[in-house]
Amino acid sequence: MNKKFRISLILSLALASLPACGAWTDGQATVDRDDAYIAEVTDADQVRYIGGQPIGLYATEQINYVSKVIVEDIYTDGDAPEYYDNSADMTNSCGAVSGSIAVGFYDKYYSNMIPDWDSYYPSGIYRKQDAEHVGALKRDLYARMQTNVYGDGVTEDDFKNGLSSYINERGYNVSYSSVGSKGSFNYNLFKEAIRNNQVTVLFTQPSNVYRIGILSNADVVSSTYISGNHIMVAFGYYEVKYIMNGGARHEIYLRVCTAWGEPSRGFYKVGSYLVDAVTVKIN
Amino acid sequence: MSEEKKFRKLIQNHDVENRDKILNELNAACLQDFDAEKMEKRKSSKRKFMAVFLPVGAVAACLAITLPIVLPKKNEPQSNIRTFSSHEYSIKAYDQNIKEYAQANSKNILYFDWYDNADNCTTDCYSENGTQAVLGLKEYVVNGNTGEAVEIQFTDISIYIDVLNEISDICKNEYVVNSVVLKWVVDDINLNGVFEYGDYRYFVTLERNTDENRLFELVESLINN
Repeated sequence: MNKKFRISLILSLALASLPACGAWTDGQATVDRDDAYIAEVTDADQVRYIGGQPIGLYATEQINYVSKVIVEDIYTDGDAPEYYDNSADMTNSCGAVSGSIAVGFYDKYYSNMIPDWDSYYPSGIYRKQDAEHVGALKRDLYARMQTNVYGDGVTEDDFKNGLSSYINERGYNVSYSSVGSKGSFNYNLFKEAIRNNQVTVLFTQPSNVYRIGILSNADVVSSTYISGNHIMVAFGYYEVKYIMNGGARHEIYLRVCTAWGEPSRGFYKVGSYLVDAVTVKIN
Repeated sequence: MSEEKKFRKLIQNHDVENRDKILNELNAACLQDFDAEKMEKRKSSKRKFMAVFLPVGAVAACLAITLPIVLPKKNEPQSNIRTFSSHEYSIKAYDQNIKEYAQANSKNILYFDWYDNADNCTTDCYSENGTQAVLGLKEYVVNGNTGEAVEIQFTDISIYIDVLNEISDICKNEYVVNSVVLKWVVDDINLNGVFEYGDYRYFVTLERNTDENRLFELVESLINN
């Protein structure tokens, strides 16, 4: 078999296999894109957050276990409000929505944070958004954060400046404490914030949010892919250990309000795609 | 006159004694050369065949295997199943609740009729980008009498929305309610259930309650209404 023939055969087989590759990969995404295709962040202040669209990955993993230990499961009182953008015109609005979630959260503790509306039921559980009050709040923050003014979405500074402007106008002070990012995420600081009933805003590059279905002797974990740089609000910490036949597994998740309509809440794993995480403190 | 013919004439004219022997040897040698030439030509043809037709055959074989998978089958009825991912739709506030939508469009759609006593009722639609077609509705309602919070979503049975498929994916338990198969799961602090009834697929979320019996009761009440 001469060289030309071998090359010819290889090229032909490669061309013929292209349709098969297309059929196989269409709709078949990897379960975990946590560290794939992440651009190196050299200046966190320059990253713009556009509100990545949730993409169903059709990727579900069933973890069959012999035993399961929930090491720690803590969250803020009443969780956090699950606001999302359902407007006809706001775009790249994750900054405004996540800012609204933080405001709605603190409305329970600081009077009139949302004017003329209580974000919570007497039981302490947060209400879903309403068109009038939370709708107005989202639009206000959208403008204050200068969404889409100097580029698509907002930067972290845009988010902080816009949120601060709103909170200050309500008569309160606000500060932001970093709990780390990427490989230096400080779980102890994050847990301390939860115990102090404070929420933490996550600035993330594309990654996943998970649902965890609970079966008998198994958890079913499905992934929703965050398709762009996104801002979410974390309000809880969930650590679990599985003992399985032939092995063990240890997972740590942050509980998050996603700022999406569906899923509106989920679990998030810290990875190199997390640009920054700041606890919002009001006084 | 060709060189060979000259050579033969030379043999015929100069070496009468060995002429026949030499001529026979000459003829045999010529035949060998001819066969070798033919063999060479055959080998060359065979190489050309291998270089061209064998890869073509390999391509054809690969296409024969992969194309039926990729292409829709001509002789079978075209499926009306439509699948939507997030860049193809938006979730938008909707100005009718499910009951009003069903009545306005003369559709037999299930809903929780708690509207008169609802503490909170928010209805959104999955709106197809571009056409603004309603792919499904999503309604959150809190029963003002009991404080119970549920979310009900529905799509046409031929429509699949990716983020709703993920709910279906984790609903691994099954329970039969009035001959309707309800798939369900405890989803963190909520209960999720999925079932098909009539022309629609329904997703019911019971918030902050992991008692599946209550989910079964709610679904039964939906179907029986």
